[in-house]
Amino acid sequence: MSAHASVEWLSAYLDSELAEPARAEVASHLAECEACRARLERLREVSAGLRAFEAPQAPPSLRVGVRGRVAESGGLARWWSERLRRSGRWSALPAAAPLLAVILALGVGFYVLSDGVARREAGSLLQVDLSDARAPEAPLATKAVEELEAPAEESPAEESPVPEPDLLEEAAPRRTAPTEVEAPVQVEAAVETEAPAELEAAASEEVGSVESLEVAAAPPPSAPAATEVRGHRRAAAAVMADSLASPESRSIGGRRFLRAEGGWIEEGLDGGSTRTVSRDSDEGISILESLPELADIDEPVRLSWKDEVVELAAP
Amino acid sequence: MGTSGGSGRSESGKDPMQSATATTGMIELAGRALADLHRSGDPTAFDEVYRRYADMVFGIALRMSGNPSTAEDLSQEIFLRIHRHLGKFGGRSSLKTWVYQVSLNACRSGLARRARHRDRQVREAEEKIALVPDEGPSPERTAMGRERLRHLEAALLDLPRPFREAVVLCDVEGLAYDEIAEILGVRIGTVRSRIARGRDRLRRALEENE
Repeated sequence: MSAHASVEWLSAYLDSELAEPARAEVASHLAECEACRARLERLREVSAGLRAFEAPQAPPSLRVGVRGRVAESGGLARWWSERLRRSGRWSALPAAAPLLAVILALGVGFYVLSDGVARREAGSLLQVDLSDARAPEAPLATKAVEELEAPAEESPAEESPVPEPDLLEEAAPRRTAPTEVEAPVQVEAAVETEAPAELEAAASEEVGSVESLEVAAAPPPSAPAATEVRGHRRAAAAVMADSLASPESRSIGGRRFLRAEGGWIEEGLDGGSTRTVSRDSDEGISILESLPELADIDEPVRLSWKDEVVELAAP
Repeated sequence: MGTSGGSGRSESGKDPMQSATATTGMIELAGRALADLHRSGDPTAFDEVYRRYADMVFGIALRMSGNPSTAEDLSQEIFLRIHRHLGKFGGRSSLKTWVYQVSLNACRSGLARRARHRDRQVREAEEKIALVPDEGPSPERTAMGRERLRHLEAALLDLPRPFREAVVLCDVEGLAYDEIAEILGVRIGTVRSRIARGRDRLRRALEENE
């Protein structure tokens, strides 16, 4: 044995879980080594302390909670299996016909809704945003549902030792959460009060909600692609991008902006002089990024698009 | 620990279905027989599993989470999983081992989810809730004072999860290394190492607090 016994051997020795000849070796070493004896005593103290913890009793409310959860999750399945078991599989079908009809109706309704949402997503949002982010995410939710509904393992020994995600709760946020690329800071300030209700909803934290999809729907084909605005900010970004995109001039918040080489200029500022608002291309998002240049403007800047108005707080 | 003394390994030698017809006979049922009963739709099988293991499950959840409220939530989740999967329990291990496995898996996923969704400071504040009651444990049960026990408890919660699981199963639950290895699905050498390293970290934590 080296100078001292390893903590692993000491710990196993403490539990009488050390096989010969290691056990005898440790015992012999302990007889001679005061440091290892002291260390063993500290380990013994730790172990004794842990064993002295009070054995908790399950609170009475647990039984009630378990009953509720079981009834909640398994009531229908249990009813159905019992029905089949007792009545024979086919004779139970007429009894379950109303239930099947409801399930079918819900399924069709869900399909129609989700199809509509998907179309709007594909038809509008992707013009502004996220061609990379959404496509691979939908299968996650599908996978989650599949895994949830998959037959359980026969023994949890087959369960993964790594933490298993709570698929039902995680899949939805994962499908719709903003991706890691942050929108320009200025866009964050874009959530103000004069936006229509659905636009506000779109800019809220409920990212990817139906509301946001509706707001962003149907921008004209000229809307530029922008890759830097993500998640819940995209609806506002879509509005602004369209507002500031292709025409040669735009009125924003009572100010007039003209397209110029390399960007946009504001007309009439400071007694007729012009000012570069964006040095970038004609993409609206680039203009948003340049808004700090309007820092000397006290009042909020308004960006309008069709009948909708987005008000940006002055940076 | 509590009422969890029953083990799925105890075989009565009687016809399990026959035993099940009598309420008292349920106690003698092996895990496999309980699984069969559960599969057949007999609700008393799950009730019996709950009766045997409620304290054990709650204790594991409490030691892994450090918070009674979280432990109750986790325990609900554990029993929900047991209810779902009991019918498929094949009897390859004891029912008690299986329940431990379900418990630890549920704790891992539940706590990981909470860690992601909660502000860490909030979580830490919750964990500060004392689990060592003021009136116990009695001094004769341990040479360690109450204050040191609280430090030990806090240090246990700070252990990395693999160490904490091994230490809890060994020192709190009182299981042998081979049982722990079966529950965790690792080799005995790994169990020995995790317990030793876990205890050593706890020892250092206590020394730093002195």
